[in-house]
Amino acid sequence: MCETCGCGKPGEFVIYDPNHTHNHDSDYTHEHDHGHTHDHPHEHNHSHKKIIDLDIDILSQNNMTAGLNRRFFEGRKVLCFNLVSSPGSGKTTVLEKTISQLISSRKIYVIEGDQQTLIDANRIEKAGAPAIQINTGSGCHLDAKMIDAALKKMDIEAGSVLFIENVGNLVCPAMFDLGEHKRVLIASVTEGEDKPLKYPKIFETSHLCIINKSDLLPYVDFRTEEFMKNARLINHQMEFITVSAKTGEGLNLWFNWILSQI
Amino acid sequence: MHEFSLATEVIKIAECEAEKHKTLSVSEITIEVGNFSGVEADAFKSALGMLSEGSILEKTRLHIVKTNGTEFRVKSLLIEEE
Repeated sequence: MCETCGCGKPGEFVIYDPNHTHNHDSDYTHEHDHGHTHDHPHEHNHSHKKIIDLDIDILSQNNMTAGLNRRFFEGRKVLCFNLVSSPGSGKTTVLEKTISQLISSRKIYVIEGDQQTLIDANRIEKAGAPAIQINTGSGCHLDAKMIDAALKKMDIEAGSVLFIENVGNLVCPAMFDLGEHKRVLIASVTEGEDKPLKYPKIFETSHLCIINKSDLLPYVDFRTEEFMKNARLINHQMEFITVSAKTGEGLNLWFNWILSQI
Repeated sequence: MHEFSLATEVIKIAECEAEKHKTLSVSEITIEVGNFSGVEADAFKSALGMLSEGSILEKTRLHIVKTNGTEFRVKSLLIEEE
C-alpha cells in the first residue's frame, strides 16, 4: 500500500496476461453463422492524454501527523524531546547519563533513529529505559509517520518522558516536526563555532542547545562565547547548557532543565 | 539528502496513481516548490533523476513551479491512456 496516499491496497487489482491461453477438450463444437464479414481490419493505436490533479503537499502531511502525535502526548501527559545533532556529538551518551539519573523518579522511553544497526537501542536498554530502534535505511531523518508507528508499538505510561534520538544530521531533521514539545540540539566543541551560521535551520527550530564534550575545550580551538553569539544571531531565544557527558560536568543543569519542563 | 526522501515519496505517489488509472506511462509531473519549503529544486531534480530509473517516472518530464510558500506539492500528472 502506498504510505503517502493510502491507495493501492493489496488485492484491489487484477492482472490480465494476454499471452495466457486456455485449451479445453470438448465433445462439441460451436459454429456460428455471421451475417457480415470482417474485411477491413483497423488498429486502435492512438492514445489519450489526461491530467490527474493531485495537490498532495508532502510536507504538510508530515505536519498533520506530527499534530496527531502531539495530541497523543498531551492526552497521556507525556513530555517528548526530539534530540538532534550531527553524528558523533554524544547524543546517546547524554541520554545514557540522563536515564541513569532520572529513571528512579520518572518512567523514560526512547525512540532511536539511525540508518542502520541496533547499537544505540541496545545501549539505551542497558541504561535501563525501554527503547525502539527505527532504521531509516537510506533516509536521513525521522518523520512524524515513523514516530506514530513506533508509538503504536510502545505502551507509554501516562506522565512519562519520551526522548527521540534523531538521525545524526544537521540538515534534514530540522524540516520535520515529530510532534515533540521541545527540540534539543546537541553540539560538541569539536564541531567548530561556525556551525550555527552554516546550518541555521536546525538552530532556528531548536529550543535548547547542549554544548557537549567540554572536557576537550583545552585541546580544541572552540570559543564557546563565539558559538553562542552565532547561534543567537539565528535564534535569540535559544538556551545553552555546556556539559561533558563523559565527566558529568554540567549535566545537573540539563537534568534540572528537563524537570523544569514537566 | 532530504530531497532524496521527497523524490522517493513522489515516485510512490506517481506509481499509485498510475496503477489506479491503469497506465504505464506518465508524460509529465508538475511539482510546486515553495521558496520557504527548505527544498532545493535543483537537488530535488537530481535526486528524482537518479531514483526514477526503472520506475514509472523514468522518462517523465519534470515541471517545477516555484511558489512563495512553504509547500512541496505534487500538483498533477499528465498520463497517457491507451
